[in-house]
Amino acid sequence: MQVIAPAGTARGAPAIAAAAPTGRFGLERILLGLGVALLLLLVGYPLLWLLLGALGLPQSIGLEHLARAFTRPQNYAALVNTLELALGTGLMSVAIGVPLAWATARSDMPLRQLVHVLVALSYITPPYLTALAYIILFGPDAGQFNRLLRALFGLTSGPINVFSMSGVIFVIGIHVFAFTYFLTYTALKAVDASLEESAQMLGAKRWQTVLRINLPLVAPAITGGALLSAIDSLALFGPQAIIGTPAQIVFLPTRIYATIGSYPPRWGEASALSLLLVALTVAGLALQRGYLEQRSYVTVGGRGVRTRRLEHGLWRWPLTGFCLSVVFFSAVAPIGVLTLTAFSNSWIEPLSASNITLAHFQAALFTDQVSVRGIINSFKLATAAAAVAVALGAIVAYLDLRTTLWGRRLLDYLAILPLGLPGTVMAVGILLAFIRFPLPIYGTIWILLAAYVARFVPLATRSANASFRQIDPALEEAGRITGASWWLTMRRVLFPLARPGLLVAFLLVFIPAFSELSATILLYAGGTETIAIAIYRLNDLGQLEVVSALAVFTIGVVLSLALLVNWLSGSSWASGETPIRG
Amino acid sequence: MPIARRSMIKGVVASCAVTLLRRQAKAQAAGPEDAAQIDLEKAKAEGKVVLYTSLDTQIVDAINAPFTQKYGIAVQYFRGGSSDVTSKVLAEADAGRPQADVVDASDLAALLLMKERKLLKPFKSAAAAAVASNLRDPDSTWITDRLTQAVIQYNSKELGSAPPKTWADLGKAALNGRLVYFSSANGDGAPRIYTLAKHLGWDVVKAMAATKPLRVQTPQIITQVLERGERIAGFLQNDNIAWRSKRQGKPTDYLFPAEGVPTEIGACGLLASSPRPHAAALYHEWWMGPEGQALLVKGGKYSSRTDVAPPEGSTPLSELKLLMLDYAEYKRDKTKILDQIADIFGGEWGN
Amino acid sequence: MDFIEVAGIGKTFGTFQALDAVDLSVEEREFITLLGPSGCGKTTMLRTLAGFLTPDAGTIHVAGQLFSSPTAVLPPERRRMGMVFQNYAVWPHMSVFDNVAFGLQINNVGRSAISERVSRMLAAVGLEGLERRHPSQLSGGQQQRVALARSLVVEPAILLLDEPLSNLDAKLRERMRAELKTLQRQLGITFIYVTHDQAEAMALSDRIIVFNKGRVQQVGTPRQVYERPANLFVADFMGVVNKLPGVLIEHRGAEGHVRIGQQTIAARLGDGLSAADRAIVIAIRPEAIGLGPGAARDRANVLKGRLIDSAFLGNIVDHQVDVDGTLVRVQGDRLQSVEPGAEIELSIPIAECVAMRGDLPEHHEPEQDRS
Repeated sequence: MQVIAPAGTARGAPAIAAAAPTGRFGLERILLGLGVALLLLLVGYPLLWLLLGALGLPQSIGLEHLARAFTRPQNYAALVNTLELALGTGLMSVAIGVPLAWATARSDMPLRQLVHVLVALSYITPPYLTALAYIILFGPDAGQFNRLLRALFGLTSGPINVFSMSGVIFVIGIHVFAFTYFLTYTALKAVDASLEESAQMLGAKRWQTVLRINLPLVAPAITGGALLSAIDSLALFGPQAIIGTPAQIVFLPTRIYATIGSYPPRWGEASALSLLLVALTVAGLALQRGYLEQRSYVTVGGRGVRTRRLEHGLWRWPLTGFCLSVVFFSAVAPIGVLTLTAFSNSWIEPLSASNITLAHFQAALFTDQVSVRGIINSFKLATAAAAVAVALGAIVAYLDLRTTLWGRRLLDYLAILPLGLPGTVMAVGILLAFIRFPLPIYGTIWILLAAYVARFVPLATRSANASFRQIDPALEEAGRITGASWWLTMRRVLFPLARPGLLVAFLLVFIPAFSELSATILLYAGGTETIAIAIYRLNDLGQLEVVSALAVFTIGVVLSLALLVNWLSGSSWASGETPIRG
Repeated sequence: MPIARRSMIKGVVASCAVTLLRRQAKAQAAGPEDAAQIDLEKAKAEGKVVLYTSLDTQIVDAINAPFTQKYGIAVQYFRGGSSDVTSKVLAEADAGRPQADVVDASDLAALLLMKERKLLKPFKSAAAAAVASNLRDPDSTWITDRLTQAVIQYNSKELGSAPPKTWADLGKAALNGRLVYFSSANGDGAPRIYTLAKHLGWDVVKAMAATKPLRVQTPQIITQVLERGERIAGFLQNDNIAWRSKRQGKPTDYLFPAEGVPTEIGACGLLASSPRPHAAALYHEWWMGPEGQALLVKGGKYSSRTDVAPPEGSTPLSELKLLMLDYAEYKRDKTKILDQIADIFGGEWGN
Repeated sequence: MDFIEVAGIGKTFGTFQALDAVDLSVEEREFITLLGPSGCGKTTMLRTLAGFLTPDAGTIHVAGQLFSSPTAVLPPERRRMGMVFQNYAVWPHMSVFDNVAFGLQINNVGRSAISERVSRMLAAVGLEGLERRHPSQLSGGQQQRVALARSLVVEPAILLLDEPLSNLDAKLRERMRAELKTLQRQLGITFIYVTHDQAEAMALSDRIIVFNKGRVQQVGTPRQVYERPANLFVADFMGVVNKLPGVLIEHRGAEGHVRIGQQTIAARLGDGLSAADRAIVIAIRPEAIGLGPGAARDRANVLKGRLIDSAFLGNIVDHQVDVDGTLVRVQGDRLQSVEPGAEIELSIPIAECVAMRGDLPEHHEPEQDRS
């Protein structure tokens, strides 16, 4: 290396080295390059295999798998059922999400805070646990509610059968309606009161104002929310399998699972069906994006918006009743019944002092081999997946926000893409990609790690992006010009400042990874069972009490972490409200 | 300096590769061919054994515990339906990453498929002498470990006086909306349904389907559903579960219809790619041996060994008319059969 | 060769040409200001000097050493420069002491030396006793002093300042301006200062480099760029100027005669005005114009006009005078009052009437630069 002491510098202190060629920023390039390579390997490569698999590779090549996938009546039925499910949940999300959002955002209803929190709770509860709870609640004969209804009305059977299409729609609907609720809530909060007051000054009555002013303003949010709910419902393998299978109703994700789970596995058909599911998702997302972008009158997150709570008089009471019954069915009843079951000797016996036990928790947390292994694996996997996803997300966000490299937008897109892909689809791609050379990790815990990172890297990327966006690049430049190398600047300036945001990113990945089911079910092996697998398998064996104990434990972990996220996001630099400036 | 380092790395990689290849070769070459060749020390040195099974976890745990205690070899197992077990073995073979040493499934067709794909290793078990020759592979790649009979199970409070006595009774209108049966989404319930159809005609099956029976994903749940009174009669494919429920004093009973009972042959074998061949063979012999089989029987299963008694209080197999499935035929026509059953019952059968 | 030699630097962002063949040279210990409207390229130039941007063309040499070229860039941390940012960029997670000590710590300066040098520097910028404070507990002015101390404590050869005073209120800005000038004289460091405020530039700089549309328009001392602007853009940017369109009817050496409406005046010919130019603009600063013939000094033009309106601004009076249909602003004495509507005579020294080409581009550009 050439070192020349600069002539004529003041005070002749350290020598200035010769300029290095631009392309060689050493560590910076290596780290960023590694991140890019890993992202391509974990997201790009499996998606490529999905296409190759649908063409019959590696055994053969041709269109017969695609043709078969689209002509077999079983697949056709699965497609129709899936569409019916999406339509049903979309409509249901509007029917309950919009009134709830109005009640909590704009009305003077009592208990609106409680309702808001409980909607959030129903959203973070893994939907397959809600499905299990609904079997306990509305199993056709032995369900607790059915028995109550029979006792009340003197019926001999039924009356409600959760094992039906409307049962699946209901159970998934009370989970996904949160999308419509939150989007509508935010939009309603962003409508400035002056817009309504202007209408009133012109003589409009209140209902006219709501119909002519509020509703059109928040319509894009409602449509967008309904579409998101519908898209999410397509992908929810857990409730589709847990309720749909006994009900003899097949959906695309359960169909894909069955084509791989029966022997010999039919990779080509599974890939072709996965592509069909991707097509549905992409179409839905494109529609949703179109709605939100072209028709968004309300600038979400705009500052200085003044909203008024409207007085509803006596109408408050039926509204309260409606809201409370929604959150009762979406959060209180399922979590409540799981808790009761977890503590009961036998779930079909009524709760009494003699029927209370901790034995199921003991079985779930200490004695049952699969369950204990599942808990340990889930903690390990979620931690590792969150760490890797945050590192990747940070790299993608850094490239996007701090460099002008060619292709960084594409990379950002690749890192966000899995957000719209059902877990089942990701799993099929990962399975095909990593079952063989060059990285045959099928059957090991690494394939689950790969799947979790690939599935949840969008959450980390968005979060890291938001976090870096808050940090003025001048803070890093000040570090460089003061003499710190790139890596030192990262360590001393960017990371400490982004830490709360990155911790939130970590938790946002950890939470869903901890209870992931739809990809895991296709990828786990003996010894790599997770909590979700333990729950799914123990449910197969009818051990509902142990399953409930495990479910209560899982909800407990997820809930505590969600509260931590909430607390972190509400405090200090991670709030996302004020950019970090010097 | 960099050159030296590079060549060193090359050296390390090469020696690792050689070691790996050698280990692979050793693993496949070595390993006992019959029970007499089992080397206890080598088995212990292998440390553990991995079992893929479709047997109920409670029975598996009961069989494993004394084995581990006796030999100090841990048993790690994956338990799923027969299809889960089989598709996992096949997928791992495709991946070139064999995990399992011993496989057991209650669907002989699955083992036949594995044999056809050369995944099973011939091994002359000491148990062969005690198992009828039509219940084991002439090439010694698999051997039947258990026979499981389908039964009619019912809630004894509801149907105690007049239970359905024949398979045809299950299709009567009296059971509309009160019948329960099982199949996983992968079609695990299909072989027994097909056996019934093959011997007694498809009409019996169609009549059952016409009662709009509740489908559950495992046989264990059939019994639970009956115990709770959610349904009153069930086409249960595993007599051991009915046996256990009754013995536990639950309000259920069961019977073997006189028309004959579909019998399911559960078989086990050693995997050719087994990473731990000695421990695998040792475990296989324990599993098939009189002690292991006695534990199986204690869990309510009928052993394939002629020298092991039937479960306590059960009808001896000799008094039952067993309906057998031609597994070679089933394996060949599987897709067609599944399509047919899916047409009759609806839902997902993995076809 | 000068201390800093910038030769032919070009930089484009997408289709936007931020810098176009920029040449400039800076002497050691000089206080030099890059002045121009937002989007003119001055901040891009500064960031290229700092090593944050790689030029598309040209070279930067410092003390004879190649610092930047399209193929080779010395990383910022190895340039021995300091930089003060518009929004201070004081690290919010570090105390005042840690902010200032950062540069010393990473250069492995001993603990006691660090604490001594930090204290000395904090005293120099007037922040004694605030070492333990966090930036959120400081005012904007104090934060800017921290930023200054942080970049100076490592004794850079060159200090780059990117609009450092623009976020401060007017009074504080003037005080800091004076302090900066004093500090620069004491330390003898080369300052390269970026601003869009021409008053600030004139108050501080040894030399000013006026930028527009990515090109250097003029280099000179404050007096030179104010009094002898190279073109209409510089004249306009450096302060209020009357632009009277006229026709050059005769030129004689450095001067010429120009017809404005019905009247003819003598004017100094600006740089870059060629013999072929006929339609020109006369630039006259409002304070150079006297009211009434009595105000005329030697070699002055006299223009006739009619007073339209006057605005009393305290220290001065702003008059609007109609000269043959063109409005002329005159900065008058508050003691001298004239009634609106009165016919008056304006006297203007010939040296203050500069004839220049009137077709120079306007300077407002979309905001694309980082400034």
